[in-house]
Amino acid sequence: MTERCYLDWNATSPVRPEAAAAALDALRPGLGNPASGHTEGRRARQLIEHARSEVAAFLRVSQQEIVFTSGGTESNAAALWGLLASDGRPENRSLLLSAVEHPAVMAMAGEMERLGVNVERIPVKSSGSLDFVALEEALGRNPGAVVAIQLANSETGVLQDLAAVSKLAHRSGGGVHCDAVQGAGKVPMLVGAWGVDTLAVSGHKLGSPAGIGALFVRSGARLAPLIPGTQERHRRGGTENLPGIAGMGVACRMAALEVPRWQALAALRDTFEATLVDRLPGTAVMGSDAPRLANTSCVCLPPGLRGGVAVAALDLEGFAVSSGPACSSGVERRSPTVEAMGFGADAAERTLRVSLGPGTGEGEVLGLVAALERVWCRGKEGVP
Amino acid sequence: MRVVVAMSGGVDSAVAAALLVRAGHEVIGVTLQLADLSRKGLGVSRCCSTTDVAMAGEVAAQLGIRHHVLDMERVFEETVLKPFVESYLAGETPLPCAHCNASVKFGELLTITSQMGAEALATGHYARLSREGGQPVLLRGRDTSKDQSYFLFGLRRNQLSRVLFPLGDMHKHEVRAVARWLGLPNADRHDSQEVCFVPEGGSYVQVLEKLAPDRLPGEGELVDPSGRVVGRHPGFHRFTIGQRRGIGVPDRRRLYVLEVRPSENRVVVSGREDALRRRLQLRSVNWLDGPAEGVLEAKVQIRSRHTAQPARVRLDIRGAAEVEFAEPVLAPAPGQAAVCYAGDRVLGGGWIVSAS
Repeated sequence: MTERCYLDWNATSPVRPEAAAAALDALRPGLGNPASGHTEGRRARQLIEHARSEVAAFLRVSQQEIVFTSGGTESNAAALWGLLASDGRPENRSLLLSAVEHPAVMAMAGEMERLGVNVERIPVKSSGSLDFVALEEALGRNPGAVVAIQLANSETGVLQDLAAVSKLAHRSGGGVHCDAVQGAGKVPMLVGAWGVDTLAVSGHKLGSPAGIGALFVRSGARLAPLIPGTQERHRRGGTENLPGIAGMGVACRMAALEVPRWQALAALRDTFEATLVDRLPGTAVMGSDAPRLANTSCVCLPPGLRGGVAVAALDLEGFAVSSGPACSSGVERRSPTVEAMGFGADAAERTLRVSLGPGTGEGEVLGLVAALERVWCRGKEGVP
Repeated sequence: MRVVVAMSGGVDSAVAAALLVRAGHEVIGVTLQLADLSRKGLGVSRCCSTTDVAMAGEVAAQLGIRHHVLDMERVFEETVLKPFVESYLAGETPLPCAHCNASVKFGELLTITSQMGAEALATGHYARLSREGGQPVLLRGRDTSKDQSYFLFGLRRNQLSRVLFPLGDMHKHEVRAVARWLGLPNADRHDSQEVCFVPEGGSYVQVLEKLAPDRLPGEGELVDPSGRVVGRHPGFHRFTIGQRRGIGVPDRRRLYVLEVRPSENRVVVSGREDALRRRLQLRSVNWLDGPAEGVLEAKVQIRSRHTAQPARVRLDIRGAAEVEFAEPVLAPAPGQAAVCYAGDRVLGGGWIVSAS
């Protein structure tokens, strides 16, 4: 196989060798069940608390506010369940979420709807930013509603104004959950200033092994446990994933120092987008009018070239990119985000997401443009 | 060479892919998600369901080839499902597989094949292709009981020239034997009998009920050819021309549906002798054998399970044609295709507009 070029960092980041080493180290003999009262248990506990302090430092919150989970999906589910079921009667509650939330959040919202929660989806503008007029109206109809809002969209990278959402939600008497799985580590984590009650992060997006995540629960916030048990101060039952937690601690410590590197990717992304629009007339960049992650480029390809096909064709050319949120069945579906931004199903089918990472070079993004141009031309000529 | 194989999850396309891999080609499996009607609440539809996609992926993994799943639901809905509904509501008997072949499988997917840098698109159809003087010639599959050339008549020559049918020379039992020999996970999966988007054990009526619930006709009259009312029907969309079962009118003869008249909400029924037709008018003729003009003798097939019958075909350069059978044929249905053969060779065909 030819040399590979990985430009799908929003799907997952390569595991950091340091995180892998920490995870492996946590599998050494001599570590017991963290719940046990003996030396082996204590060692395991220390390892967990050390990692917890690193995650807390990364988010600039206190250690007591961090709960380890199995990943971003569980963190999101635990937060929504926890906030909506805090008084034991979710059927009396309302959940407002943006129309561009990640499928994981959407899926949990669907489950809550089935349990009787009144769920409303708040539209976004064509820029991808939340429609605050619609949010205010929805809060007016549903005082005390829980609001779920992402930090950054996984497809477009568009950042939401979390502080403004929190202010409105709190004024209405409700709680705010933030899905920060995509944005974490790519922008400074100002969790205190954002004012959210809960916030989900995933380990593997930060370079730890997959299968570990964390949920920030603001001190004082009332949450019903999704998985009851005595671990994690009764917030999440189940014996802790020691290697995952150790890996995530290291990943967070390193990620905290790398935010400037992620932000510096804006220049490279802009080069990519400008070159692509120039070489493939009819290409449009989605979300570029809103504040967005510096590493993410969501482009709508010219008519005749499907995003899913581009992904497959570029894979053959050595490039790893994606056409929407990663889906376990491997189906390249049309982009729900681009559709929610009002561009229509046609544009959503032509969406391609390119996400850069530290170390991505100009040669790689220009190589990608050239490969896309080849794919595009082959389709026009109808001959290979 | 690099070849894209359309993999449905069934045994035929799996063996097609396997044969191409063995022949040394760089094979890329593509599964089209066409109509997951289970997500539209139509129960388990056999084709395009999650299990089919997963099966295609399993086969691809076993063969060690790349596999991509493409969401083509919208184009399928526009070019196949909607015309299918319209056709039934207009009293016709649609042939969705032929439309899908022309516009999706060998239309859009052929463009995708080019975009992937592949030279050819292969499918598990039972049909053969040969080349004569640089032109592709479409032939019936060797296994005549499985032959699918009838559904492929609408492909243009420039489409056929980039297509491979690896199973064309094989019999179904041989395909299964190869699948078992290779240990493919779907070697003993049962064959599909119905159109892919019709749910297992169900009928097309359920699809119409799902896709056009507000436009379905209500009860109406069953009449004989003279216009005399002989009974009631529960909605003309439940009847197809040539149908014998479920007419629900006692008669000493075996009754056939002769005609469906949407504007009158009537279904015309009568005995076999009234269902015979000698002449067909065709539209949108696709001719594969030389220029589409003149008069010729051919054997013409008017539905998927029909033995082609001798006829004289008059081609009109504007894309119409008239077929005159030597002996009358039973209940040709508007919406179906009339495909002309010379032996095994597909000469071309068109869509039946009317019969007399």
